[in-house]
Amino acid sequence: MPSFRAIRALLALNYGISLQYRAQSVLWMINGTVPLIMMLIWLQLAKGGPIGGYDATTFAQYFLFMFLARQSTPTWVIYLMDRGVKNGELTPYLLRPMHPVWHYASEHWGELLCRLPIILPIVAVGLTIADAWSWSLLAHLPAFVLGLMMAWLINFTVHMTVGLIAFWSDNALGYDTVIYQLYIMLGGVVVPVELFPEAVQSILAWTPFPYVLDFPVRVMIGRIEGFDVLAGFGIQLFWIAVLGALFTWGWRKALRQYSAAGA
Amino acid sequence: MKRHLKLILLFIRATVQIQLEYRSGVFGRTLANILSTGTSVMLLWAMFRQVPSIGGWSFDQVLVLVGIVTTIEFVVEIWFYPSLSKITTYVQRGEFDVLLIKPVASQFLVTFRHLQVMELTGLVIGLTVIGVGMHRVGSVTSFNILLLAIFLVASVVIIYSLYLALSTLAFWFTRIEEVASMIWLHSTAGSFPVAAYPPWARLLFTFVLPVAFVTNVPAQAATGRLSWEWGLGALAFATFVFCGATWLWNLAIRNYSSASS
Repeated sequence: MPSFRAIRALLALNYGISLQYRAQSVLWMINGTVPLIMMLIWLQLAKGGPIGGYDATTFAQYFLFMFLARQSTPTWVIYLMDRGVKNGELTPYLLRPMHPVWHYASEHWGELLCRLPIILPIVAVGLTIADAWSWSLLAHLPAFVLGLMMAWLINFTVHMTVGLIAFWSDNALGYDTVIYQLYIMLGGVVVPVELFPEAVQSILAWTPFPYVLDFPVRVMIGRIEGFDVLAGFGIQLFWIAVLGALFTWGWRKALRQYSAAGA
Repeated sequence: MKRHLKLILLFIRATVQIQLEYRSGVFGRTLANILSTGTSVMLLWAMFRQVPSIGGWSFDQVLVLVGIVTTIEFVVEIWFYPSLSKITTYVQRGEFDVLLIKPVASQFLVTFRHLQVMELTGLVIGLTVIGVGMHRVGSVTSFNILLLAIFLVASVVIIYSLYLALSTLAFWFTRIEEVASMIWLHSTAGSFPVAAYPPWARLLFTFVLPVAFVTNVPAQAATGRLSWEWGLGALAFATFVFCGATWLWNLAIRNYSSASS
């Protein structure tokens, strides 16, 4: 684990890089507006009355916080690992006195710091237009933030683990698309997970996907309460531990395999 | 014309040769494509368990729409993304000069140079979904298929023109790499009937991000519900954006000052 000063320096560096390329960030953010588009459709559909226990206010809250969750957890680490292996960019990272994971993670945090000042006002304005503010949101906020941080870790470790494929195959990016699709479509970005058919929901419960986006969002809007929140955090921790162990094991094998192209 | 066809074949051969080096990916990507189309259909089905219709369209009609979106997505992936997204790189690295001195129109060259024909499986998936949807609606007639083909071509022309126009901006603002994400957003918004959106968004999705013309019109044509106003509108829009994009391209070429020495 690197020192606090080292992490702060990395963060400042990556924040600067992200600021420089903010035109690109904006385009990425446009891509992340799918929850907002889906909100428009569900709000129209809900005009005829609540659907599966979701009324207009619930839909507005669900998709606005889904937008926030989606925008705070994007991961392009498979792309970074693929590039790192292919042109040997990974080699200098390996020489530094900290795990390359910290470089990758801080690049994502720097980007997030750039995004939040744009994302948060959009959520606030959306809640105002949809007249969906409520005091209970404030009470759920700490649990939401905690859930979101763990969600970020799950998503990041899933991607890191899949990214290890880059050490053996030149097609790791193909898997990035698969994981991305699962993360988006099974995460609740298009249809809230609670509105999935029950059979699908019970299969999904055995995968990490609903714990990345849907779980924290449902905690925020009060559709998961009391003991179930703690149980959800427990399952999130379980996935972080399992995936983290898998990654650590795979990383060791991968490094033995790594032949440092371009070094 | 004949010379151009010959060139396109040559380009395809060159691209396939490069791709054969990395063929391990094709099987994986086909699987991924089936998985992602399957998930879209599953989500659609989940939505229709809750509501009887979306924007007045039935499940089968929206299924045709999903097939059209998938087909167009793959046209982008096979053709426009590999070709047009290189414009930015050409301009940034100053490689564009080499293209300009070739004895064919530069627009032709950037359009056809990199056709990833090995990815055709995706196209098959899209067309299959359209076929299944049309069969379930009961609208499989040769007239509807002809209409579908005409309006799919119009859609491809619209997407091409928008993609080219956005990429042409690279001449002025040399850092627009993620142009493609605009097109992906298009595919999500386009998977639903425009009538399912609130009125202000319908305007947006007709003229700014023209999913109405690109996805809705071909789906209506395939299911035998196309009104002549919308049909003519789509054709006029396609002509308009194509001319606009070509004009912008020529303007950019005239003002191009090399990035290399």
